[in-house]
Amino acid sequence: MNAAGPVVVTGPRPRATSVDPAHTVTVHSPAEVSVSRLVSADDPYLEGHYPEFTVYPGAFIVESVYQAVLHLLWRTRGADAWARPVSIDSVRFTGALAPGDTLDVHCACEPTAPGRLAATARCTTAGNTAAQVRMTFEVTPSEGGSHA
Amino acid sequence: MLEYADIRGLIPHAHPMLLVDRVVEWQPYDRIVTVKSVTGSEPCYKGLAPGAPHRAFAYPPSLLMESWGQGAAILWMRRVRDKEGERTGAAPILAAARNMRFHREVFPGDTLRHVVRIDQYSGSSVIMSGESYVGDDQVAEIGYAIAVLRPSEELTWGAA
Repeated sequence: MNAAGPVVVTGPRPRATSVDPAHTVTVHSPAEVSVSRLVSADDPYLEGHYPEFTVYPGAFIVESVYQAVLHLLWRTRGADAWARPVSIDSVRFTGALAPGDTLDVHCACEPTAPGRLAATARCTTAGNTAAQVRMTFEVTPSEGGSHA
Repeated sequence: MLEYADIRGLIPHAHPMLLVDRVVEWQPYDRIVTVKSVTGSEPCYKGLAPGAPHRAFAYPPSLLMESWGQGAAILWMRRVRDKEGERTGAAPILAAARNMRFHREVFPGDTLRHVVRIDQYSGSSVIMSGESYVGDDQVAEIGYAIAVLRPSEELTWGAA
Protein backbone atom coordinates (compact mmCIF):
# COMPACT_ATOMS: atom_id res chain seq x y z
CA MET A 1 0.00 0.00 0.00
CA ASN A 2 1.32 3.41 -0.89
CA ALA A 3 1.00 6.26 1.54
CA ALA A 4 -1.83 8.64 0.66
CA GLY A 5 -1.71 12.41 0.85
CA PRO A 6 -4.18 14.33 2.96
CA VAL A 7 -7.80 13.64 2.07
CA VAL A 8 -10.53 16.01 3.16
CA VAL A 9 -13.53 14.13 4.53
CA THR A 10 -16.95 15.79 4.68
CA GLY A 11 -20.50 14.72 4.03
CA PRO A 12 -22.68 12.10 5.69
CA ARG A 13 -21.39 10.54 8.88
CA PRO A 14 -20.37 6.89 8.74
CA ARG A 15 -21.30 6.52 12.42
CA ALA A 16 -22.75 8.49 15.29
CA THR A 17 -20.18 10.95 16.61
CA SER A 18 -20.15 13.76 19.11
CA VAL A 19 -18.19 16.04 16.77
CA ASP A 20 -18.70 17.46 13.32
CA PRO A 21 -17.44 14.87 10.84
CA ALA A 22 -15.31 17.23 8.72
CA HIS A 23 -11.64 16.40 9.00
CA THR A 24 -8.51 15.71 6.99
CA VAL A 25 -7.01 12.22 6.90
CA THR A 26 -3.52 11.13 5.93
CA VAL A 27 -2.70 7.44 5.79
CA HIS A 28 1.09 7.26 6.16
CA SER A 29 1.50 3.48 6.10
CA PRO A 30 -0.57 0.36 6.91
CA ALA A 31 0.11 1.11 10.58
CA GLU A 32 0.10 4.88 10.79
CA VAL A 33 -2.58 7.47 10.20
CA SER A 34 -3.19 11.13 11.02
CA VAL A 35 -6.42 13.07 11.37
CA SER A 36 -6.72 16.83 11.70
CA ARG A 37 -9.84 18.73 12.54
CA LEU A 38 -10.74 22.29 13.28
CA VAL A 39 -12.54 22.76 16.58
CA SER A 40 -15.63 24.70 15.62
CA ALA A 41 -17.89 26.71 17.86
CA ASP A 42 -20.72 25.28 15.75
CA ASP A 43 -20.13 21.75 17.04
CA PRO A 44 -23.55 21.02 18.51
CA TYR A 45 -22.47 19.78 21.91
CA LEU A 46 -20.13 22.69 22.63
CA GLU A 47 -22.87 25.18 23.46
CA GLY A 48 -23.52 23.12 26.58
CA HIS A 49 -19.86 22.69 27.57
CA TYR A 50 -20.06 25.25 28.97
CA PRO A 51 -22.63 28.00 28.36
CA GLU A 52 -20.41 30.83 29.65
CA PHE A 53 -17.05 29.65 28.35
CA THR A 54 -16.33 26.91 25.85
CA VAL A 55 -14.05 24.01 26.73
CA TYR A 56 -13.59 21.25 24.18
CA PRO A 57 -14.35 18.09 26.16
CA GLY A 58 -11.28 15.89 26.43
CA ALA A 59 -13.42 12.84 25.75
CA PHE A 60 -14.15 14.23 22.27
CA ILE A 61 -10.48 13.83 21.33
CA VAL A 62 -11.06 10.09 21.67
CA GLU A 63 -13.60 10.36 18.84
CA SER A 64 -10.89 11.58 16.48
CA VAL A 65 -8.64 8.65 17.43
CA TYR A 66 -11.54 6.29 16.65
CA GLN A 67 -12.11 8.03 13.33
CA ALA A 68 -8.41 7.75 12.46
CA VAL A 69 -8.46 4.00 13.11
CA LEU A 70 -11.55 3.53 10.94
CA HIS A 71 -9.93 5.40 8.06
CA LEU A 72 -6.83 3.26 8.32
CA LEU A 73 -8.95 0.10 8.23
CA TRP A 74 -10.98 1.29 5.26
CA ARG A 75 -7.78 2.04 3.39
CA THR A 76 -6.01 -1.20 4.26
CA ARG A 77 -8.89 -3.70 4.52
CA GLY A 78 -11.67 -2.22 2.44
CA ALA A 79 -14.89 -0.31 2.94
CA ASP A 80 -16.61 -3.06 4.92
CA ALA A 81 -14.01 -3.12 7.67
CA TRP A 82 -15.13 -1.85 11.04
CA ALA A 83 -13.76 -1.27 14.50
CA ARG A 84 -15.42 -1.15 17.89
CA PRO A 85 -13.55 0.29 20.87
CA VAL A 86 -13.19 -2.34 23.60
CA SER A 87 -11.00 -0.39 25.96
CA ILE A 88 -9.37 2.92 26.63
CA ASP A 89 -6.28 1.59 28.28
CA SER A 90 -4.90 5.01 29.12
CA VAL A 91 -5.75 8.60 28.32
CA ARG A 92 -4.11 11.72 29.62
CA PHE A 93 -5.23 15.23 28.79
CA THR A 94 -2.54 17.86 29.06
CA GLY A 95 -3.82 20.85 27.11
CA ALA A 96 -7.08 22.63 26.51
CA LEU A 97 -8.64 23.16 23.08
CA ALA A 98 -11.00 25.95 22.12
CA PRO A 99 -12.92 26.90 18.97
CA GLY A 100 -10.48 27.92 16.25
CA ASP A 101 -7.80 25.47 17.36
CA THR A 102 -6.76 22.61 15.12
CA LEU A 103 -6.54 19.17 16.68
CA ASP A 104 -3.90 16.93 15.11
CA VAL A 105 -4.05 13.24 15.96
CA HIS A 106 -1.17 10.99 14.98
CA CYS A 107 -2.02 7.37 15.52
CA ALA A 108 0.15 4.25 15.38
CA CYS A 109 -1.68 0.92 15.23
CA GLU A 110 -0.56 -2.64 15.82
CA PRO A 111 -2.42 -5.94 16.06
CA THR A 112 -2.23 -7.41 19.55
CA ALA A 113 -4.35 -10.54 19.10
CA PRO A 114 -6.62 -11.98 16.41
CA GLY A 115 -9.24 -9.35 15.70
CA ARG A 116 -7.67 -6.82 18.08
CA LEU A 117 -5.84 -3.63 17.20
CA ALA A 118 -4.05 -1.36 19.67
CA ALA A 119 -3.83 2.33 18.83
CA THR A 120 -1.40 4.75 20.41
CA ALA A 121 -2.19 8.37 19.62
CA ARG A 122 -0.43 11.61 20.27
CA CYS A 123 -2.84 14.49 19.97
CA THR A 124 -1.48 18.00 19.56
CA THR A 125 -2.60 21.52 18.89
CA ALA A 126 -0.12 24.01 17.42
CA GLY A 127 2.64 21.53 18.25
CA ASN A 128 1.72 21.27 21.93
CA THR A 129 0.53 17.96 23.34
CA ALA A 130 -3.19 18.03 24.13
CA ALA A 131 -3.66 14.35 24.90
CA GLN A 132 -2.06 10.93 24.77
CA VAL A 133 -4.37 8.01 24.19
CA ARG A 134 -3.96 4.24 24.15
CA MET A 135 -7.03 2.34 22.99
CA THR A 136 -7.83 -1.19 21.88
CA PHE A 137 -10.33 -1.99 19.15
CA GLU A 138 -12.12 -5.11 18.07
CA VAL A 139 -11.80 -5.26 14.31
CA THR A 140 -14.38 -6.85 12.09
CA PRO A 141 -12.72 -7.82 8.81
CA SER A 142 -15.86 -8.08 6.76
CA GLU A 143 -19.45 -7.26 7.43
CA GLY A 144 -22.40 -6.30 5.29
CA GLY A 145 -23.42 -2.68 4.86
CA SER A 146 -21.59 0.38 3.70
CA HIS A 147 -19.86 3.07 5.69
CA ALA A 148 -20.19 5.69 2.99
CA MET B 1 -33.53 11.47 44.01
CA LEU B 2 -32.62 14.50 41.96
CA GLU B 3 -34.57 15.58 38.91
CA TYR B 4 -33.27 17.32 35.81
CA ALA B 5 -33.84 20.83 37.16
CA ASP B 6 -31.87 19.99 40.31
CA ILE B 7 -29.02 18.59 38.22
CA ARG B 8 -28.93 21.72 36.05
CA GLY B 9 -28.59 23.77 39.19
CA LEU B 10 -25.60 21.80 40.43
CA ILE B 11 -23.26 21.32 37.47
CA PRO B 12 -22.30 23.78 34.74
CA HIS B 13 -23.16 21.44 31.84
CA ALA B 14 -26.12 22.51 29.71
CA HIS B 15 -28.21 21.17 26.86
CA PRO B 16 -27.30 19.21 24.75
CA MET B 17 -24.22 18.32 26.80
CA LEU B 18 -26.07 17.65 30.04
CA LEU B 19 -26.09 13.86 29.79
CA VAL B 20 -27.75 12.87 33.07
CA ASP B 21 -31.55 12.71 33.16
CA ARG B 22 -32.06 11.79 36.78
CA VAL B 23 -30.19 10.81 39.92
CA VAL B 24 -31.81 7.67 41.33
CA GLU B 25 -29.54 7.00 44.32
CA TRP B 26 -26.81 8.84 46.07
CA GLN B 27 -24.74 8.65 49.17
CA PRO B 28 -23.14 12.04 49.63
CA TYR B 29 -20.39 12.39 48.74
CA ASP B 30 -19.04 9.02 47.73
CA ARG B 31 -21.45 7.16 45.48
CA ILE B 32 -24.14 8.06 42.99
CA VAL B 33 -26.38 6.22 40.54
CA THR B 34 -27.65 8.19 37.55
CA VAL B 35 -29.73 7.38 34.49
CA LYS B 36 -29.58 8.68 30.96
CA SER B 37 -31.88 7.59 28.14
CA VAL B 38 -30.28 7.43 24.72
CA THR B 39 -32.56 8.57 21.91
CA GLY B 40 -32.16 8.81 18.16
CA SER B 41 -32.96 12.52 18.29
CA GLU B 42 -29.65 13.47 19.94
CA PRO B 43 -27.20 15.59 17.93
CA CYS B 44 -24.75 12.69 17.54
CA TYR B 45 -27.23 10.96 15.25
CA LYS B 46 -27.60 13.91 12.91
CA GLY B 47 -26.45 13.49 9.33
CA LEU B 48 -25.73 9.78 9.26
CA ALA B 49 -25.31 8.32 5.81
CA PRO B 50 -28.51 6.99 4.22
CA GLY B 51 -28.71 3.25 4.74
CA ALA B 52 -26.19 3.35 7.58
CA PRO B 53 -26.19 -0.08 9.26
CA HIS B 54 -27.11 -0.81 12.88
CA ARG B 55 -23.48 -0.63 14.04
CA ALA B 56 -23.29 3.01 12.92
CA PHE B 57 -25.82 3.96 15.61
CA ALA B 58 -23.70 2.85 18.54
CA TYR B 59 -23.70 5.62 21.13
CA PRO B 60 -20.31 7.37 20.85
CA PRO B 61 -17.81 6.28 23.52
CA SER B 62 -17.00 9.93 24.24
CA LEU B 63 -20.60 10.65 25.23
CA LEU B 64 -20.81 7.50 27.32
CA MET B 65 -17.67 8.61 29.20
CA GLU B 66 -19.00 12.12 29.59
CA SER B 67 -22.41 10.93 30.79
CA TRP B 68 -20.80 8.64 33.36
CA GLY B 69 -18.43 11.35 34.56
CA GLN B 70 -21.21 13.86 35.07
CA GLY B 71 -22.41 11.70 37.97
CA ALA B 72 -19.13 12.41 39.72
CA ALA B 73 -19.51 16.09 38.90
CA ILE B 74 -22.92 16.12 40.62
CA LEU B 75 -21.52 14.55 43.81
CA TRP B 76 -18.53 16.83 43.75
CA MET B 77 -20.37 20.08 43.11
CA ARG B 78 -22.87 19.22 45.81
CA ARG B 79 -20.00 18.66 48.24
CA VAL B 80 -18.44 21.97 47.23
CA ARG B 81 -21.75 23.72 47.76
CA ASP B 82 -22.39 22.07 51.12
CA LYS B 83 -18.91 22.63 52.49
CA GLU B 84 -17.91 25.94 50.97
CA GLY B 85 -21.13 27.66 50.11
CA GLU B 86 -22.18 28.68 46.61
CA ARG B 87 -19.31 28.64 44.20
CA THR B 88 -19.51 29.64 40.58
CA GLY B 89 -17.17 29.89 37.64
CA ALA B 90 -15.45 26.56 38.16
CA ALA B 91 -15.67 23.60 35.85
CA PRO B 92 -14.72 19.95 36.36
CA ILE B 93 -12.34 18.74 33.66
CA LEU B 94 -11.38 15.11 32.99
CA ALA B 95 -7.60 14.89 33.36
CA ALA B 96 -6.80 11.21 32.87
CA ALA B 97 -8.31 7.74 32.87
CA ARG B 98 -7.09 4.15 32.79
CA ASN B 99 -8.65 0.74 32.36
CA MET B 100 -11.90 1.83 30.79
CA ARG B 101 -13.61 -1.14 29.14
CA PHE B 102 -16.55 -1.22 26.79
CA HIS B 103 -18.30 -4.57 26.90
CA ARG B 104 -21.31 -3.87 24.75
CA GLU B 105 -22.48 -1.08 22.51
CA VAL B 106 -25.40 1.13 23.46
CA PHE B 107 -28.12 2.14 21.00
CA PRO B 108 -31.12 4.48 20.81
CA GLY B 109 -33.81 3.07 23.06
CA ASP B 110 -31.33 1.98 25.73
CA THR B 111 -31.34 3.57 29.16
CA LEU B 112 -27.94 3.85 30.75
CA ARG B 113 -27.57 3.42 34.48
CA HIS B 114 -24.26 4.75 35.71
CA VAL B 115 -22.74 3.83 39.04
CA VAL B 116 -20.02 6.28 40.03
CA ARG B 117 -17.82 6.15 43.10
CA ILE B 118 -15.55 8.96 44.18
CA ASP B 119 -12.70 7.04 45.72
CA GLN B 120 -10.70 10.04 46.87
CA TYR B 121 -11.08 13.78 47.23
CA SER B 122 -7.75 15.57 47.09
CA GLY B 123 -7.62 19.35 46.97
CA SER B 124 -9.08 20.40 43.64
CA SER B 125 -9.15 16.91 42.16
CA VAL B 126 -11.09 13.68 42.56
CA ILE B 127 -10.31 10.06 41.76
CA MET B 128 -13.27 7.99 40.66
CA SER B 129 -14.32 4.59 39.33
CA GLY B 130 -17.51 2.79 38.41
CA GLU B 131 -19.64 0.96 35.89
CA SER B 132 -22.42 1.53 33.41
CA TYR B 133 -25.34 -0.80 32.79
CA VAL B 134 -28.23 -1.25 30.38
CA GLY B 135 -30.76 -3.37 32.25
CA ASP B 136 -28.68 -6.06 33.94
CA ASP B 137 -25.91 -5.96 31.36
CA GLN B 138 -22.71 -4.22 32.29
CA VAL B 139 -21.83 -2.19 29.18
CA ALA B 140 -18.76 -0.37 30.49
CA GLU B 141 -16.46 -0.21 33.47
CA ILE B 142 -14.11 2.54 34.46
CA GLY B 143 -11.17 1.43 36.54
CA TYR B 144 -9.66 4.80 37.33
CA ALA B 145 -10.36 8.35 36.33
CA ILE B 146 -9.16 11.65 37.70
CA ALA B 147 -10.81 15.01 37.22
CA VAL B 148 -9.67 18.46 38.25
CA LEU B 149 -11.66 21.54 39.09
CA ARG B 150 -10.52 24.59 37.19
CA PRO B 151 -11.82 28.11 37.72
CA SER B 152 -12.94 29.29 34.29
CA GLU B 153 -10.50 32.21 34.28
CA GLU B 154 -7.62 29.76 34.65
CA LEU B 155 -8.54 27.81 31.56
CA THR B 156 -6.08 28.85 28.91
CA TRP B 157 -6.02 27.70 25.36
CA GLY B 158 -2.33 27.04 25.01
CA ALA B 159 -0.53 23.99 26.33
CA ALA B 160 -1.25 23.38 29.97
